[in-house]
Amino acid sequence: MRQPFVRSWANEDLTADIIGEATPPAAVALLVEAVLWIESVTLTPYCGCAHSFDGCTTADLEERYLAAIVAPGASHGRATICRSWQVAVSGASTDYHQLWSTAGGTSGADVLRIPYYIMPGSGQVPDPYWHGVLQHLVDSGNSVIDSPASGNLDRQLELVAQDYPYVEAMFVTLASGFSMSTSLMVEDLELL
Amino acid sequence: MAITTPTGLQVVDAWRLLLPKMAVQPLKMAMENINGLWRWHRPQVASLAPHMSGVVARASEYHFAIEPSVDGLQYTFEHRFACSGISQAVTIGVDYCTTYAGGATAWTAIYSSAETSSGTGGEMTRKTHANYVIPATAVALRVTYTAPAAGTRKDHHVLAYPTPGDAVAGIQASGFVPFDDTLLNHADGGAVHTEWINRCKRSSVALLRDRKQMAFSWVQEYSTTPKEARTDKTAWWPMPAQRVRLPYQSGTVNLSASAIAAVTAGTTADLVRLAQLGGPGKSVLFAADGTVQHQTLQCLIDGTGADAGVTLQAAYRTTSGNTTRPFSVVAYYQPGT
Repeated sequence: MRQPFVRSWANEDLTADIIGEATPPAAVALLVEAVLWIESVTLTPYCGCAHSFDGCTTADLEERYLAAIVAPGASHGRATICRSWQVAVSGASTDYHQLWSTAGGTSGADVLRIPYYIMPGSGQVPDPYWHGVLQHLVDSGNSVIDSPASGNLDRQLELVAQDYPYVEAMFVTLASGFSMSTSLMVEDLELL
Repeated sequence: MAITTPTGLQVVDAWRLLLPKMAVQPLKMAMENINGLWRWHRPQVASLAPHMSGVVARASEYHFAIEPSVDGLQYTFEHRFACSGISQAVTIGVDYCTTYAGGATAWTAIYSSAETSSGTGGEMTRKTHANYVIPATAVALRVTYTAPAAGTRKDHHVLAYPTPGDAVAGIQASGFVPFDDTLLNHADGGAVHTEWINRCKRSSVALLRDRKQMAFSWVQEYSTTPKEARTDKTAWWPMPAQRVRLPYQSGTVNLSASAIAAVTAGTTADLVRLAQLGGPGKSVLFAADGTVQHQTLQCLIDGTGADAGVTLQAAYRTTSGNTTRPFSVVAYYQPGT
């Protein structure tokens, strides 16, 4: 079994060589270090790009299709959605964001629902609005529930763990911003 | 003699690392992964969700700063858009420039492709254009969509990522050095060179740092009447904040930020801002002078594990009686900076 090895790049010395001397002994540690450097660059997730856009003010803006390039070894992802709103005195409350990744399913119970704000008080509803004075960042769910039978759960996005990067298509509603990145990786690289 | 590029990461089995013999494997597998990394390290160089006023019946263009590889790589572009009418003709173009000057920019075409939207009105259309070079000297890109003949169009997303071919001989401008297996495969058995061990790190780090990752993007139409174009905001007019997700990262990160903006009249200094919310709360300011403005934004990563990242917010302001038109704010993440 080989677990993925990822690095925090700011904490690494990226300039120092693995071997500083000309004729070192053929130590296992040197071989392991050489292997792990390449694997960590390959597997450490790409940054989740923060997209800022109006995906909420008018009905024709509410749906947004996006995509992300996913590094090898990623099995699940989490998204961060920015919602912004003003308080309206009439109208229906917005109940939830919809979110999906192609790998997790794009219809029915596979579509994630992330609860929106429900305002207390009668006659006051959150009205999604790009320049709304009220803003909040919410992460999609942390639970791993693949292929749910029912419920439109707020869960981790399903990705496809492979030995090469690929593009994952996604969809979100009522967002003022969106980003997605790897949240879980395959447990055993030998299964890739 | 072969520079072999694997089709994906070759995982060295655990048993090979326990008590390895002085043999070809697993070093050869690791070295070939260097070549694989050349082909398969593909972080996004551009990822943009256009900020639109609504669906449009006109042509649109978007201008944004770009920081491509110094190795002059090929890139693949994916465009997502939707037309209200069925099977509408839309021409998609991507151009680059080496000096940006707003409307006076001398653009060079990367490609132009005549496309047809989905056969179902309103359905999302995806078009992929593969293996086009973005020169290392490019400082900005222009993405254009023509108007549909009937109905409206909504621009959802543009994604671009490197898609180089197999590794080839020679030292690249980034410092990447491929691996040729001639000596290791020789019948007499090649000695394990110290340089080979070090090359595993040097070449992989070279690619890691050369292929910068777009970490933040806000872009709207380049026009005289874009959606965001205020005249009455002499105080900062913020846009909603958004989270740059940096899984498993910690410490300080220096983002390379750029902005393109213009004014109708008046002074141009310090009219666009990109700031980190929380943490040390640092920010950088950009002039709205119609050129690509560049700053380095130092951020302190917050959160832990897969949810680590930084929260950024773009904003702009005006001078009294004059209009500020921001067109794009982007930031790049270069690991290790």
